[in-house]
Amino acid sequence: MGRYIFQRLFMMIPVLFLVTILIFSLVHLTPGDPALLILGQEASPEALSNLRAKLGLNRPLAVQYFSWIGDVLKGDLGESVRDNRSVSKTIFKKLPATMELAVLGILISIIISIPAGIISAVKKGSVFDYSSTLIALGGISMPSFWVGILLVYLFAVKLNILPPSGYVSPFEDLGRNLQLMILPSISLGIRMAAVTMRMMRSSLLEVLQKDYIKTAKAKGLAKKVVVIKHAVRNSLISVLTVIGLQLSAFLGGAVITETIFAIPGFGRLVVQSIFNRDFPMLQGSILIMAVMVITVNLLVDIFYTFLDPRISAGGETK
Amino acid sequence: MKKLLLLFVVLSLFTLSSVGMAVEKGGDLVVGLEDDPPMLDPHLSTAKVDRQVFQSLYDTLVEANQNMEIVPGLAKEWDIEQDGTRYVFELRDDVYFHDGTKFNAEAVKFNFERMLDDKLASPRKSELDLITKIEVLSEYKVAVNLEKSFNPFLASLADRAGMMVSPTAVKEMGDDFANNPVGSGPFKFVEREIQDKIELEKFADYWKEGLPYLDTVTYKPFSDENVRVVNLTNGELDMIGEVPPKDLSKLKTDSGIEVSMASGLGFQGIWVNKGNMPLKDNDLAQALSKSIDKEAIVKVVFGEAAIPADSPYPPGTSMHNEEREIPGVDPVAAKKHLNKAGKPDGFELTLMVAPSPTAKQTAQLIQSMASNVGIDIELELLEFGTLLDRLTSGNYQAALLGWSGRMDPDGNTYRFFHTEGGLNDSNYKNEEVDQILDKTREVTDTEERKELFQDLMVHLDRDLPYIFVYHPREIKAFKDNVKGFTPYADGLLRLENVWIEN
Repeated sequence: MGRYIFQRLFMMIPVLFLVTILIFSLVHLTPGDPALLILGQEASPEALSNLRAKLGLNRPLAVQYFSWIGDVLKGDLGESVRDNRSVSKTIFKKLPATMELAVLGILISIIISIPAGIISAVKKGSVFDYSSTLIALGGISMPSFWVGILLVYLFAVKLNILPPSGYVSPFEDLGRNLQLMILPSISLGIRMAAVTMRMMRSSLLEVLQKDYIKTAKAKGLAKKVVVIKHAVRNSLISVLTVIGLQLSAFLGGAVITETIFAIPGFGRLVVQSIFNRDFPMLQGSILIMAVMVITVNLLVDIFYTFLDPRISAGGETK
Repeated sequence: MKKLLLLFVVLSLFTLSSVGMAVEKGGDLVVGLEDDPPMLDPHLSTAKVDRQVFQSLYDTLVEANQNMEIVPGLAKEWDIEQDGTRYVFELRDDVYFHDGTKFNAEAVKFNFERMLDDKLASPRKSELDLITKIEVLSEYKVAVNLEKSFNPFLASLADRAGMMVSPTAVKEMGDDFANNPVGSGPFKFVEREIQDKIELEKFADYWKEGLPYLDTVTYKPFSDENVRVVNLTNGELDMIGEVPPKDLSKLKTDSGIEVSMASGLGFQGIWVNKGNMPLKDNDLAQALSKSIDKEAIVKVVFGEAAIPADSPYPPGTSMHNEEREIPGVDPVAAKKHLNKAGKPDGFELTLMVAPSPTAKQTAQLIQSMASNVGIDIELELLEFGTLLDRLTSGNYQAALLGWSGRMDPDGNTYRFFHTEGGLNDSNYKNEEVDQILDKTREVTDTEERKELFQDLMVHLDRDLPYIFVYHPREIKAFKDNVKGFTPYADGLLRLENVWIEN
């Protein structure tokens, strides 16, 4: 187990290295000049070139890359070209709101999808199965920003029982925080729930066909015990993969959801940095994002080993 | 026990406040902005939205009144000497910065020198470039010498170039000043959470007697216009700085919401690249212009939120000419121009558009109108940074993009149409125009200046370096318990006279 985790951690190094090259090239290939955006259209050519020199943007790209990567290795993500704010400090200030959104969204999706998936699989062909399939298809087809707008319209404009958007830290006022977070979490959670529910249903159906389930049934075990103890646990592996993938894709969805609900999170920071061509902030943010995605994948893999010990054995005979 | 105590405090506050309410003006105002202000240092700012917050944080040497005329601000009075090359300002002696330091002539000198310093790379430098020397004549008297006479000088001092920051704070904080801004305005900076809020509180030592009324002001960015409006109607916001045209009539009929309107200073329309085909050809540019029905665009997209335009001088500004009529759509004339240019079947054109809802709608209307005379427009949607880049480098044919406007007509013309203009992205070169524009900066007689700005239109009408389509109006919406608000043509929110009625 320890060795497996170590191996996986070791493999992160080349991946991260490639990621930094990719991030750096993409960011610098974007059309648009940060100096022009900072100084405005009226800036004289001298002022622009002065600022580019001050920001270090007139150096060859390779030099810029190695100076950035050198700083990153020392744990320094640099400073915003806009206002000299520390990139790492800003990122870690913005992360909690997005994390909260992710956790609540996943929680909502699990609460809906796992039971619904199990019931659909067990009662395959029933009215419940068909209607939940229909709802899930709807959920997959609707983009989360659209669901978000509908939710705001219903709960904030028509019923007026929830605030439309905004953010308050949970440490400041937990009640208010949850009031504000419930709609964005649902709009993200519903979409994730739809996918997870379909996965739960189909993988449980597959497992239910297996011989050992038949054996368990033949032994005379109660149906509940068979499903929950034997079938669900074994079908969770693929469901977990989907949840892990969703968590990675979530960061993309958060960008739009955070804009609609005016949550000052990580997603909006990234978008704003793109608009401002704030290269250090953008590079730092995407790097942290990449690290997060890789970490989530690692955690999912480690989770597998709990669900299926064969995985950590790596095919070795014990 | 704690709860009881709290209840007691709340109750006693309630009784106290209800007694004093009749005279006390105050309140906590929450303002929804269209974006998170990128830069709270006026000497480094380039975004319009920054200026909303600056109105509360900073004072200017001179101010603009509601008719956009120059009135005293931090300078009580001034003399213009030596044929307009020397300005002597008599400063107020009762002004303090938020950090408690005194505002005086040395502070003015420090501020100008800061903006002129190459190391700061201030966007204000181009407005102040003609300054040769700043002399401190006494504690509250300062003289600014210019290389040559420059009419728009005072107008730029009513804006960001005239905003005075605390020298002590700048020296202490250096590069971090923008994150802890210190001015002398009616409200002082408390804290900011990027993309979340900017909090200000009443500055007790403000020099304007009895002002401001509000206890605190909080600015919150809402980049999605629908979200901004819903937050106002829902009661989360007290005021919004930019109202989407499509929501105007809805807000006007909302009983709890007040809408204020002022004619704006800016213009919107099409940048025409005179350095590139096809619009380098005046006839082709004319054909495009004649095919556009400005009335219809305003009616469909904007309603009351805009009026059709034909010049850089919006109605209500000093250079607006009432006698000029907005030419209607004229497909016959458009065809004539096409024939003259040897393209009777029309031509192809790429129009760059920023992805805002109104810009997209306007562009689509222009596209379909132009197709009536055979001009085949391809719309190219670009993110703002990319669009700016293409515009500045001249790598485009036409672009739909406007200008927020300045109080002096110079701010709406020189930078665009002078060969050396900082914003001449049309690549327009016309020696006569250059001469006219140079002269407008020097003449002292107002009537003569007015005539020059009208002469300019003869050239712009013929060469069309820019096709003016509409003037946006400045529209603000706020809850009906927000009192004392006066709209200004520059669209900036001046909050010192505002209070909230309970």
